[in-house]
Amino acid sequence: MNTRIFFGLGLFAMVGCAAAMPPSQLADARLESQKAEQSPQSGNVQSDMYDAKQALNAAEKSFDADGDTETTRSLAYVADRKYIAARAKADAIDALNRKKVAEAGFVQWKEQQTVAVRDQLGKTQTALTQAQRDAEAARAKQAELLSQIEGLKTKQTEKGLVLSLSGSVLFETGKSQLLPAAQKKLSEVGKALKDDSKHSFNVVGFTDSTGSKEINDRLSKERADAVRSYLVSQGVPTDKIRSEGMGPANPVASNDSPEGRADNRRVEIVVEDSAGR
Amino acid sequence: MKLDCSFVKRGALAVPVLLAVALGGCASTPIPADKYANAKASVKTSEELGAEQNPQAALHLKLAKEQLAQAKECLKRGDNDAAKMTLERAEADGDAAFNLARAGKAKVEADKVVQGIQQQMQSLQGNATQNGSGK
Repeated sequence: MNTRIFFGLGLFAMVGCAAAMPPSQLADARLESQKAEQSPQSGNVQSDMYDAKQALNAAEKSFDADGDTETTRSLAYVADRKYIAARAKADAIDALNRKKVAEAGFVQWKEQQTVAVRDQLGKTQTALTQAQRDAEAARAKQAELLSQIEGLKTKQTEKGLVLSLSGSVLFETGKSQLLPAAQKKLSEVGKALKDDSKHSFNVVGFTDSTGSKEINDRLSKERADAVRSYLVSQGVPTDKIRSEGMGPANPVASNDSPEGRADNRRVEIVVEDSAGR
Repeated sequence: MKLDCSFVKRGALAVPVLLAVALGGCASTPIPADKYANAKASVKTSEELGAEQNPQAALHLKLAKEQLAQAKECLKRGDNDAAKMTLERAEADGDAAFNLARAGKAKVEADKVVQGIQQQMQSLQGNATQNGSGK
């Protein structure tokens, strides 16, 4: 009795083993179904997953009913391919989405960049406008200060703004010592020039044609030096201002009349563009 | 290559094959007219998509073509049941080839686009930095 049961059980186990041994096509299909189910993208191909599942179910049913038959193998083969196809389709959708996300992200990034550039441009423009406004205000202030100085003639030339002071106002005849009244006038000129960082200054002395050229050259240079030194003492940066003597050169009036000669005796301050030097 | 119309590894089981063919021949049922057309179309579309250039897809395309030829043979012999199953497998392989080829292409395209975007972003950012430091 016991032996019989044992035998029966053994037979059952063997048969069970044989029945549980699926064909490779079914094993493959089961494996593919697991892979496909576990794929995070499988949600995008639900219809294909459903079809594949149906195909696998048909294969399983055939296997359960008839075992390892040609029909079972063929059904399992088809199910296996359906899972492969579904997974590939999900991969394709995933790649397409990846592309779309990257493209959309790029568009957004470019917009942000454009906004940033526009902001920067706006700031630069504002700063530039402010700088221009400041420069304009400084120029206006300088012009205002200069216009208040009596006896100072101003003239715009290609070299820059030229300030002209009559020699008789500044010096005694033949001397290069500044008169007290001249010092007051030059203080005002210094006030108008000392904060002007945009320009450099050239002090040029001139004489009339009376007397020897050598003396006139030296006198005009000494007078220009005196004016330069005084302006430096008033706060005009020393590296911004130079001086030269031109003697009787470049007369502004005829040397034949006393009035003309008086006009020719002068010191000019040329307000030059720093950038041009 | 000689084609038989059964689904067993070539030369592995000659007797069951013959038996199956014989049995199949007896139990033949008519197959739907579009079965063959579907399988053929599936092969054609995956070929058009360049499945041959994708190793994974190429394998399934090859299997599909082989089974299509096999099915023809079965039909010739009047073994409709075997032909029907073979055509189903051919179509399934054709579809797998098509989807694998398409996925391969989509991946390549996506990688290209993403890489291109990264390069553009780098060069644009480089320009911006240059402009910034040039000030």
